[in-house]
Amino acid sequence: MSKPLSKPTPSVTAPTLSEVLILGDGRVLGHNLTPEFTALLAALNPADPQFLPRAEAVAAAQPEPSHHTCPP
Amino acid sequence: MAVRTLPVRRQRGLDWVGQSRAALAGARAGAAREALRECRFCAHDCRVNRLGSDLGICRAGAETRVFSAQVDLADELELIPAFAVALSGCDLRCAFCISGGPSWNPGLGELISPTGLAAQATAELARGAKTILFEGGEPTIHLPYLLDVVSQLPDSARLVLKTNAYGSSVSRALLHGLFDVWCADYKFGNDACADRLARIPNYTQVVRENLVWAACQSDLIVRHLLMPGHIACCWQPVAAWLAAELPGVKVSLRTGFWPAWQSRRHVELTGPATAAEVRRAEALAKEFQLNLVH
Repeated sequence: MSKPLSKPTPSVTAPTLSEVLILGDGRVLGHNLTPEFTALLAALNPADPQFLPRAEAVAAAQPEPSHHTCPP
Repeated sequence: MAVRTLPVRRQRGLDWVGQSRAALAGARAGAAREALRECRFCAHDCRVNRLGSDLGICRAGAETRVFSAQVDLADELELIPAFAVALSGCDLRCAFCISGGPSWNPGLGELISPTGLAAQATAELARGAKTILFEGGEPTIHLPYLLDVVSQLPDSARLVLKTNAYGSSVSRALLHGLFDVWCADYKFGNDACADRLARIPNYTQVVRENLVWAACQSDLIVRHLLMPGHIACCWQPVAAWLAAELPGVKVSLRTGFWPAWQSRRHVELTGPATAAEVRRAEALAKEFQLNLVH
């Protein structure tokens, strides 16, 4: 009898699922806040105090591009 | 109100007679692996041989799987962007766990070598990640792997341990001085709720002991997930204790309860916290003069 196939496990390198829960009172909850998802949520509702600072944190953390002078 | 000053924390980088953090973690990784023969990493104190076929409450054996490793922005602002590494398996059984299956099942996720994970984390630091954050499940049930990874990270990296604070003195000794930030949960304000919602015995004593210890040896952020219907029984006692015993400690009040996993087993956890509950919780924080961080 052949061995049954084991259930595949999701790869950590595969795109993960992010979720948004919009409550009836207008509050928005987000799960799995990747940079891309957070930027989307911040763009949809810039007034929401929880997402904009997080989206801005990504931009602020980007390393400075290296500057070099081209030889003459 | 007199404010008790928390003791000065260790210097970053060099400690224990000139040993680097990486060397210290490497030296302890072997001892951590040996400790799996009679596992006492958490307060359950199962004492099973995880190098054999025995399984304790967490069901974790000798290997560690990673169910997520990515840049994440969900944590406290001072920690993000964080390269967050989530290890599968947990010693608690919180019905409302947002990670669900991978948190409870240490067999889910990928096998990633400590060297490979450390390289990935180091690369993310170069790309702008502010911290490397280890979470779960519960990372402290995987001390050999955790220490092996830390031993291969630059000493300059800012390391965060996100933990349920249910560890034992054995795990504290192995973790002492290695993490810059402990982001520790104080989930329940009493043992009855802890037992009913997460099957945790003796919760209050264990967590308080760990929080006091963590406050003395790292930058501590205490997290509390506000659960609907649990302000008076959980948040209020937690807030009162923090105000009395750890005044000035950073407190992260997480108000976005998401009914997940098995939360519907409990009638009060079938929906999010109401706006009124959030306002009441924030008012309590102000009343206790807690140092709230976001």
